[in-house]
Amino acid sequence: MDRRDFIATGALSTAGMIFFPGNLLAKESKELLKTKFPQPLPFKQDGEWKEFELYVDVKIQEPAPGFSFHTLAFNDMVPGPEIRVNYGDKVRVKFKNKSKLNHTIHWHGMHVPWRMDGVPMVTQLSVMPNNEFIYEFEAKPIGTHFYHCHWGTVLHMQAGMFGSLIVEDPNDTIKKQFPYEREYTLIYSAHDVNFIRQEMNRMLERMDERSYLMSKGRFDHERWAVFNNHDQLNESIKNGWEPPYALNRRAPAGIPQADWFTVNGKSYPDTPYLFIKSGENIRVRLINAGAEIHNLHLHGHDFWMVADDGIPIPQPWKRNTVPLTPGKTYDIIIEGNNRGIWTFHDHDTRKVTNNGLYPGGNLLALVYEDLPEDELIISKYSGNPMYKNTGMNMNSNMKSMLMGDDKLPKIALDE
Amino acid sequence: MKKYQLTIVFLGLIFMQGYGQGRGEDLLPEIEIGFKTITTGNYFSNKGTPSLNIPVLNEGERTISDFSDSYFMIGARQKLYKGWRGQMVLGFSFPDANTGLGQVFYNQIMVRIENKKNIITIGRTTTQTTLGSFTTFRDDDVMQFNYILNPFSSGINTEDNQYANVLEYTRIFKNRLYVTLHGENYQSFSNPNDYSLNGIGGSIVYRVPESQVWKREIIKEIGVSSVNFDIENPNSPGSNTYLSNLASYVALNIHPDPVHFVDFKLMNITNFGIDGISDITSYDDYTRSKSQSFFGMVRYLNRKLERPNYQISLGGGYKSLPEINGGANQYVLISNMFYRIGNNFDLLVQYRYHENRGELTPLLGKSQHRFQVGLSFSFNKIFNNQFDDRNSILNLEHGYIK
Repeated sequence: MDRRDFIATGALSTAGMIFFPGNLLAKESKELLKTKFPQPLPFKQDGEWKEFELYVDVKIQEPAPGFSFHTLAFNDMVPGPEIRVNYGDKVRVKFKNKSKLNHTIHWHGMHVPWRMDGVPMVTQLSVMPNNEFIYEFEAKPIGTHFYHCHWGTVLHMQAGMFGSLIVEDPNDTIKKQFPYEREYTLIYSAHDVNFIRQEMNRMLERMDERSYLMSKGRFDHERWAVFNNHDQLNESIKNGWEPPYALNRRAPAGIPQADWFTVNGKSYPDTPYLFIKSGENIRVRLINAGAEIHNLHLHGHDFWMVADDGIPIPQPWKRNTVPLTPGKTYDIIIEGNNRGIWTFHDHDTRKVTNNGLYPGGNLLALVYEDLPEDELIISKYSGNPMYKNTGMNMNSNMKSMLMGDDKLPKIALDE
Repeated sequence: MKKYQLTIVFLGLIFMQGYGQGRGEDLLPEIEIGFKTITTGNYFSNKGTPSLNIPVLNEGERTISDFSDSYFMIGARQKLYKGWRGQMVLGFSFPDANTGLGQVFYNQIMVRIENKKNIITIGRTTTQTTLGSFTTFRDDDVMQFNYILNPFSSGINTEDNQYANVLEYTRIFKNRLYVTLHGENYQSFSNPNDYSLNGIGGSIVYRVPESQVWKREIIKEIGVSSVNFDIENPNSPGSNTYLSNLASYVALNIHPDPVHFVDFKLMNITNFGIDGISDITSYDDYTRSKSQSFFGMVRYLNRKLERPNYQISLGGGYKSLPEINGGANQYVLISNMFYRIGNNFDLLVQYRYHENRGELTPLLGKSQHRFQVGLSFSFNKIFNNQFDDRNSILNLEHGYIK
């Protein structure tokens, strides 16, 4: 291949990188899809307690084919497994820290006893490496909530330590108003993968050193930057101790700037599909476990806003775009009244990117299962005469060469 | 005739010409900037008058202001296809005065490509003439003991021993064992425009990554390196022979404590020499005669709040040239302290005593006391960071990411 051929080939493959997702409705596709939603966490009944087990460790996550980064994962998953309980259940979560970093678990939106709230140095000491902590609480209030690490949250949350917590209401008013059989959980997050990598490396190095000193009983509050009160802090500064935000900073100087955006730990083209049928209602639980606002817009439909932070909305209203702010949960009901394949995406399109390149990130689709197969054929319903089926072999060959299979949808990675 | 006709210049043309990349947005690489400014006031008290023309060796006392060994480097790295990474480094340092290198010496002009198990380096860079590093102020403070000396050098500068135009390949086994084959064009005083390879060698080094230093293993680093110089055979005019040197090195974690850290480093260099050199009449004789040298250094590092606080080192070296009539040997004692006065900023104090005996005295002088007090400011920063180091904890302990 000479130089000219090399350039031509490179340009073609960059501009027209197209892959074929196969049949969305095939059995294999649906099986694969199950792995793209939070996995249910099984429990053991111990008397009146539903006992769950969570652990955390470092794991490599591949948000989209061809790109991986190290994460902190509950039970080897990002997001962590879904805890689903009934209102009033006694919940016990045995949390084991298999990583070399400190952690806690905060139950976001839950009314737990304050000592179970998981805020380090406020409600508990951190769960140190190879240690366990047992959280016990009563499942209330009802609705869509989530859990996340509350230690070093700038790193630990965007590194993957979050999962959904659903408290079901036996007399669910939403289900009565909008009868549904299927529901989906979508957990949004945003990641500065460079910050995660640098900061996790530094934390792991520090913890190797600290663990050694702890084992020898030589760890102290100045080294840890943890003080009993302001007097102790002021006294240390007076004696020459420098706070880490001054001259001894430990983390990168910049505030993280997210460059990957995920739904259930995946970015387009690996984001999950939402399946629906004509005439069916589906419930979608939206959770923002990241630090960015996501303005979620559904094409071709208005959806019902039915719960805000888990709390049922007495008089649901319709909209087609909702700003999902950090820490927020919304439940929406989508009515299957417009057959097709409809994208559901962040309308801040800076977040529909992977490492700055559109399309990617928070882009997924609502897919009607009863969509006739022939509506997927490009040439059959195309508004572009070029793609209409003229019966001429030459055109078919050209189309095939340009577009691959005569079928939608496709995966486009560079528009 | 030289055994290696493949020149650095020729290879440079092949690799550096490059190809058109087509239209598209260039991927901005990681960019790293690093510098060190080391400024000291030096007091010398010398005995003996050396024939080697290095002013600071002249008999008597003198005090100078010294900023040598300060450097500036800029580098860029980016991912390549198939899990490889590419890097370039451009750097210059400030050599000692009157060394024939000018005000500025370009010590780093190199390109490197690497993946998880392989490293290929082409260009001017640091050579394999030493293994490991000792905590002296400047890399060349005890060079006659911890470096394999370049036999083509005139001896008036130290950069001839530290840098060369290299072709180097390293294979890494199990993240810690580095096996390197290399060829170099060392700077030649008598033939400065010859860019042929005039050195060849290999090394095997076991090295615990810096990120895992707190694993508290006793052996931090151990290795051997062979450097063979392709020189004219004085016993057979018109033909060449090899001058072979073998360096071995070990760094031991004596007390790998995060607060009170103590390590010990020892290097031995055996110069197998050229037969028939029995007198030291020139610097060539000094670098080409058989010799044995040892240099060891113990270091105490006090760390406060996870950062270096101060460091005290004590070292000594001995070198003998057994085949020189009348005897020839030299030794050195060195001690220094670094005290951190702020981020990246150190206060330095160093004392060194160096004595030459027997036949070495006419060439190098008799002895020298050297006191140094100074400041050092060093800094490096990676901008647009986009991938991890091979030796990060995440890559070493939690799965390597290409």
